[in-house]
Amino acid sequence: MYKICIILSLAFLNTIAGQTITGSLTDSIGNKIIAATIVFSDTVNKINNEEFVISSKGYFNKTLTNNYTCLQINIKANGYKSKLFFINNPDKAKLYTFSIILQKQVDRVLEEVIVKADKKSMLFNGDTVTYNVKSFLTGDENKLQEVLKKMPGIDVDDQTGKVSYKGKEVETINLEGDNLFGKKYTTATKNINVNMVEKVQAIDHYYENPLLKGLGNNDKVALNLVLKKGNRGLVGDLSLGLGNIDKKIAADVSYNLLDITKNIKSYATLSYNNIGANYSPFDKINLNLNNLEELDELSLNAPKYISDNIFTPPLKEKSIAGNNDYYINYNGIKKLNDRGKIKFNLYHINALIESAQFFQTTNVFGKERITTSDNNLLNKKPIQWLGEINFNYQLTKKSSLEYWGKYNTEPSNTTIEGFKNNTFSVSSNIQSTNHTNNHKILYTNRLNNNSLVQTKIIFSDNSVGQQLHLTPFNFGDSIFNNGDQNNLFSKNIFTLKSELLGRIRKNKYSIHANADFFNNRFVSETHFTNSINQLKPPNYANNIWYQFKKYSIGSSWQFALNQFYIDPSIKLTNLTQKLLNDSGFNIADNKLFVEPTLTFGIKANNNLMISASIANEQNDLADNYLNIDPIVTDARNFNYNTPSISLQNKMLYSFNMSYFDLHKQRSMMIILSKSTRIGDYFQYSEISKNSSITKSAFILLNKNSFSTNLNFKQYISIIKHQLNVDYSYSSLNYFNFINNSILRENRVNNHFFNCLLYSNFKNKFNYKLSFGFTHSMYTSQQIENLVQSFTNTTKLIYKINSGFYLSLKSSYYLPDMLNKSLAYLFWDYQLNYKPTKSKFNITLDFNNILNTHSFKNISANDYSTSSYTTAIFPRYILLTSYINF
Amino acid sequence: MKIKIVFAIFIILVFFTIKLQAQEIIVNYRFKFLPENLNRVASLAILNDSVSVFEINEKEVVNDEKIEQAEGTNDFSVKLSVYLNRKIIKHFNNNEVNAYIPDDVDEKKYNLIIDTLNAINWQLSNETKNILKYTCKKALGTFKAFKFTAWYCPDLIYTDGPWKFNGLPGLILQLDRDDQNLQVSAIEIIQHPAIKKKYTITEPYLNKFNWPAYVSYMKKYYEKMNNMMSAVFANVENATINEISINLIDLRIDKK
Repeated sequence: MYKICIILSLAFLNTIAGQTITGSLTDSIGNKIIAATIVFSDTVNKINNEEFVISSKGYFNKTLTNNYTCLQINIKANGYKSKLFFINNPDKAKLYTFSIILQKQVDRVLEEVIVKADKKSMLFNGDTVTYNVKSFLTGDENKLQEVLKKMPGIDVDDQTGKVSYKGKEVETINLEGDNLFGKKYTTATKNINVNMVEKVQAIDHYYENPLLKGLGNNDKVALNLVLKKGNRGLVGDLSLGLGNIDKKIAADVSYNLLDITKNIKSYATLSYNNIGANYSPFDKINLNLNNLEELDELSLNAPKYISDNIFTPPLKEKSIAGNNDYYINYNGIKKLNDRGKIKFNLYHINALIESAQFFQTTNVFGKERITTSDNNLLNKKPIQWLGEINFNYQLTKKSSLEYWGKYNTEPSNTTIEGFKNNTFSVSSNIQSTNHTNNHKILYTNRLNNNSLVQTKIIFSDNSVGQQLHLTPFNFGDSIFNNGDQNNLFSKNIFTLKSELLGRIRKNKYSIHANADFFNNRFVSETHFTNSINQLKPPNYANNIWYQFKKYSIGSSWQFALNQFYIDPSIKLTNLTQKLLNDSGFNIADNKLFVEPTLTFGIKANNNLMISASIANEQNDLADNYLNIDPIVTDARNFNYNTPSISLQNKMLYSFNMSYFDLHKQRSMMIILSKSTRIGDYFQYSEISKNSSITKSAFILLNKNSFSTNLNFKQYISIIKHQLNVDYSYSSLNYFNFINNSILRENRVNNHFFNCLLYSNFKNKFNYKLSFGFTHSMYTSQQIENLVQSFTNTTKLIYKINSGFYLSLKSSYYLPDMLNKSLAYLFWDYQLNYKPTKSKFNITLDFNNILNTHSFKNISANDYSTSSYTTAIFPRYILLTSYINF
Repeated sequence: MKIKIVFAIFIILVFFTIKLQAQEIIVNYRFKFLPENLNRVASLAILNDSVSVFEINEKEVVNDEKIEQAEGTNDFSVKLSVYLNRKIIKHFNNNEVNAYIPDDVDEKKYNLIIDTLNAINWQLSNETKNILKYTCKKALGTFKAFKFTAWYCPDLIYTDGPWKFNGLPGLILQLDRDDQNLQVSAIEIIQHPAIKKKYTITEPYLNKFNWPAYVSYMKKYYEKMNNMMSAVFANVENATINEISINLIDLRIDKK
């Protein structure tokens, strides 16, 4: 290097005249080079920062400020070969002048080179957080809900599909800003393919009705789906899955259609599967309330006295033996003009659910021990037709009128072929009908900036009819050839609610007046025929009315002082009840009671909220206990009640702490709650080998419960891992009478712990690991029944190349930790081919590779332990091709 | 209420579209201006040695000037919308920057502001970091009253960068204002793009200013707006009018 410097110094000696360096830049044919950079650095003393100059119109001039031992001059211009000069020990007093000729780079065909940055996964803008869907994909996701659960702050319930954001249940999931799906949004999250969605926006303090802005409860959260740019106009996807299941054809076919124009948004889905999947927002197996709307309308629905739900082990889609599900859904919203919108939602389900079960129960009453068993082969055919219409009209700038209409019909037919106590066969058939017809009208008028009036009217009519046919039927020691139980429960409701919402500075208030009119009627008949023992068959019938009128007025306030807030509320109710039947039973009462609540808390910052509340409620439980005469509910059980119109007095204490820092992807929630209930229906049970008779009566005894939920989530960016930890504890004490016992005081303690760890590497390999542990202990006098279970799931996702993903899932279940020999292992493999930028995907699924046929679950209560063995979904292989058009 | 001032419109329609086969490089940047929660994708196309075009296209430009009243008070303030929609064309031959920026009244039309190139005295540093797999070097400089940190790539021999920034021995891939309110970072680099896009290097404009003249013109405009606000609320009892602060993005980034 030194030699080169010396040679160059000598070569340019004649032209060097001072410290300033100037020069001209031309190409080989004398054209001036417009822009070049000339960088000066020291090859010996590297401490100095570089100096530079940009040439202009072919000339440069730079006066250096640093001291150089060996000055390196690097000249670069785009499209030219760079040139390097060295000056050893440059003389500060001299001017160095250069005439530099740069040689053109040899022309070559230049290929396009694209270097891309990863898009930011989340963007924060006021109350809205925007998630970039692509950033959360690891390759094993197909439907929207599978990617939602990976987004910080968003949770998806594995069983129901319900979505929550920052610990609060999401009210609606909008499509491009419109509330198309209502509260049954799981039709979207279970069916829309991740390929269609570009962004998910989570909105805090969501108001669907803009007139409510700044008033009322603003704790609601919603999500908004932003579709990919190409997904405008009529687009859709077709997913066609075919394979083999138990030597039969396995199929999973779905067709989704989206039409988005300026004034109309429509989404339709049509699916069929026989692989155990449920794509609808309803649960036809366990009859859980899978969507918020069903929960909201719980008080409008008539109860089912004969249960036709199917017991299933906690194995998700493997929990049943077979299915055949058709699901059709259409959602459309049309903008009529600048003021009005009309929305239609139609749902149709036609399903077949198959299950095979073996229940074995050991009941212990002091020294007495009764063991029962039931083998059942179930076949349930639920059908549902649901139509909804919603009309929203902005009357003036400050007032709006909204109407919801709904018609729902759910016929269902369940047949059970069984074998009782391994001695005789029993067959039963349950035919149910459920008709709902309801209408809601809501008028909103914003009086001024600080107040608003809302009036809501609800008419609802619901009737549930059930027919149970049993062949034969045991009643105590008596056996009858046939038993028939026919029930009809009808419920008519009219509700009028008027509410004034207002604001005084930062404090909000609400004053409301309600009038509720409920008219319930329960009719039943029980027939037994052809007594084998030649006994006179008993004849039971119920024809009972339960009517009540409830007038209430109340007020609630939200006082805010800096970050502190206190929300008191009070409701005064006058309740007139009448319970009578056609055989002279008649009770009536008029009650006046107050229900206060108080919540106080601190909103320490945008991330941390702490609150505590105390509430008193008066609950009416009569609906589920109206039958004075016995009714038969299945091949083993009878029940009857002493109806009461007494109210349960419930005190509820709760403490909530929630911390969500989405920037750091960290969250923590602590919920403690305690309730004391004075008054409840207590069971007197007589359990024998062949049947059980339960009588319930309302008694003013205390029932206490306590629960704790802890949830912690953290993204550990250094190792690119997400850690979720859940723990919950609940305890309940309750009383009952079993087989002429004295009053038994019982207690149950449940612990649940789950830990989930998954990686988010950008390279080829990702994994997901989860551990779950449950502990349930029932204690009653001298009895202690303990059940502990353990689960472990491991999933490995391997990106073979840019389009191929392989995921291997292993699930290990230990339903009873005291019996280690009872263990289950499931293996599921999935191979995905998702070429980038292609509208075509292929997935190959191998499910339940080890072909495990049954699953034995263990449960207990205060007087028995049971084992439930159920047939589960057999091994299947499915090849699914997906095309987006 | 919508306040409109009628400008004398003399639109010079000079349209010449050049199809440039020699598009050397296109860089897409994430452009964030945090005080207004603005987050846009901007692109810099270096067409040849002498011309580059920096563009931010906002799809929907809606004039939503609003008068806002603070909750439970008679405090009024005017909220003016902020537009980033623009085209900044650097002419290296004549050392000039032509910025076509939206007019404050008719946001769908442009004013042409002429500024000079190479106005920044950059201090190079030996510190390096990787951006989009390129090794970049750090440089510090002051541009119109704000201090900036630029990360340039000596391997991409273009003395150019986002917005009006240039004059470093390599292409600027990241730029951070020291108050962290302005952040620009490259998200995609396309060298020798296969699909050649047409760029127009002139636009029709309403008015033509040099930078000092534009600053003085806008100050007068805001003064006039404030006077109009005072007049509008003159009859409202106990009304407090919050002075309209200069909202135009150019005056908040290219501060005088």
